[in-house]
Amino acid sequence: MTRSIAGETILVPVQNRVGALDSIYTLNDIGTVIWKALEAPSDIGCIASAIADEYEVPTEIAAGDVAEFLERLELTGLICRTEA
Amino acid sequence: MEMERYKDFSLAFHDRVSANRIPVNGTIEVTRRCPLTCAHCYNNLAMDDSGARSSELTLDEHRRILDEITEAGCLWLLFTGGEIFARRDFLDIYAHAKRNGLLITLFTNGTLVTPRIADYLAEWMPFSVEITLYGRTRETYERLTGIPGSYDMCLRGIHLLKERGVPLKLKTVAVTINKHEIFDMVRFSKEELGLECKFDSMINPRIDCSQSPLAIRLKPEEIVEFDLQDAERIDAWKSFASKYTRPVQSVETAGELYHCGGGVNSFAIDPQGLLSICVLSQVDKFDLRQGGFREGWEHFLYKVRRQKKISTMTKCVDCQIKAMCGMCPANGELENGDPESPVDFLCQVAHMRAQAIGMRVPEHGACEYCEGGSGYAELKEAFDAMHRRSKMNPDVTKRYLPVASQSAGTGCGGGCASCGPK
Repeated sequence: MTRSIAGETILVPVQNRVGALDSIYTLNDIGTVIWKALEAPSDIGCIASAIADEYEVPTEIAAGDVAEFLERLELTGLICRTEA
Repeated sequence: MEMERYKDFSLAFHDRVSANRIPVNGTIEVTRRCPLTCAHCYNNLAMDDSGARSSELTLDEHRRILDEITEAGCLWLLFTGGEIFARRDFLDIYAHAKRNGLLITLFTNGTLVTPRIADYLAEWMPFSVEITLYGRTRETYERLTGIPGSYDMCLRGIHLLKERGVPLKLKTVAVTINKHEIFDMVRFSKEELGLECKFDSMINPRIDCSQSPLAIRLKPEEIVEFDLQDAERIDAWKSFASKYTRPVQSVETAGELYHCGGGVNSFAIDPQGLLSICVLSQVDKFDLRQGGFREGWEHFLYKVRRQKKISTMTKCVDCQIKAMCGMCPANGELENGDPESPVDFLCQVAHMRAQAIGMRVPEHGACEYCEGGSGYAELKEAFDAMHRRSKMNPDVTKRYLPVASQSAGTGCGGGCASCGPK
């Protein structure tokens, strides 16, 4: 889950073998928006559209950034990909 | 997304929030009841103390308070006691805190840890569990705890958690009863169990004003001798002293009685729901059964922290080795009944520590333990005797090194959760 404290969004592990913290993840503003969008199952297109609208950037650029961010989350085991 | 080493994150985050007075560090004493009867303990009560049990916060009250501290910005939460598992509903309290996204540390003696508790903690991992070991041998452990069978129960608890990979550290407190086994405990922990182990030699009077724990407190020279026998420890003191070698009153906080993180970024809540600066301070308390945490934090503790001023120019006010001393208002209250009255024992320890790391002690009022003071000769004699003993061990002697540099900062070497970075 995320905690927002003093303007900073921190990813806090809750369940399973993630107690021993060697490292910790913090999110910037866009990362926080993406993370919140993932509270319900979503896809890159939907999230990219929301980012494009919010930050007034072309959808294809937002889609690239979102895909890269999701890949990092997936690599660190913080999210998993499911079939639609 | 930024990934930071936890230690870097913690230090930087504390720096960032220190100016904003956010209660990021909390301590909750869930009970003071404990199955052990340790002679040095500052707050333990009997397991069958019905008055203590009936006055403790209920599970629902804990849930409400946990929600309030989370909303206020608490990130690191310590659950301590008494013995936390003396409460049968402790895991329910813990689960609520965990679901709120708090980074939770548990202080326990380990004796009540069962396979069910260990399984639960393996599923819902805490940030850390710290178990206190009171002796390397059964005889010493149980002489201190007063409970036959407690040594085996503690080791069982340690193994149950370790087998499941729960983040575990051991620690011990050095007193007259177990001082001969301190380094055996450290070796046992590190070499046989593969667990980090630290020790502390400073103990307080009981919070009910009884001075009984002090009967087994080590002498100042014994405490400093322990410092010198642990390379990491003496390095830590040097580092701490080099950062904080000036009076702890900064321009911004000049005249304030408190100089720790209590009431600025940390708080404590006792078993009855009384909010205070730290677990030791028993004077200024806000009843969370009568008001919300935000009111207690933003108004009550704010006033305690900012409006309580130094009223007496004691030798502590200008002391530049306060970083090596455990003196704080809470310790003054407990040992002298006065938050400002210097605790003689702590003053002796601090001056010996300064000598041990080769640090000059600038004049700071009428101090008995500075050169020319009435207690200096005796302190020096005790220190020199300790130094001679240390020379018998070359591994100890070579650790005597002067402090290299001094820089500005604030802090103190007290033993509560409000002092120093996590």
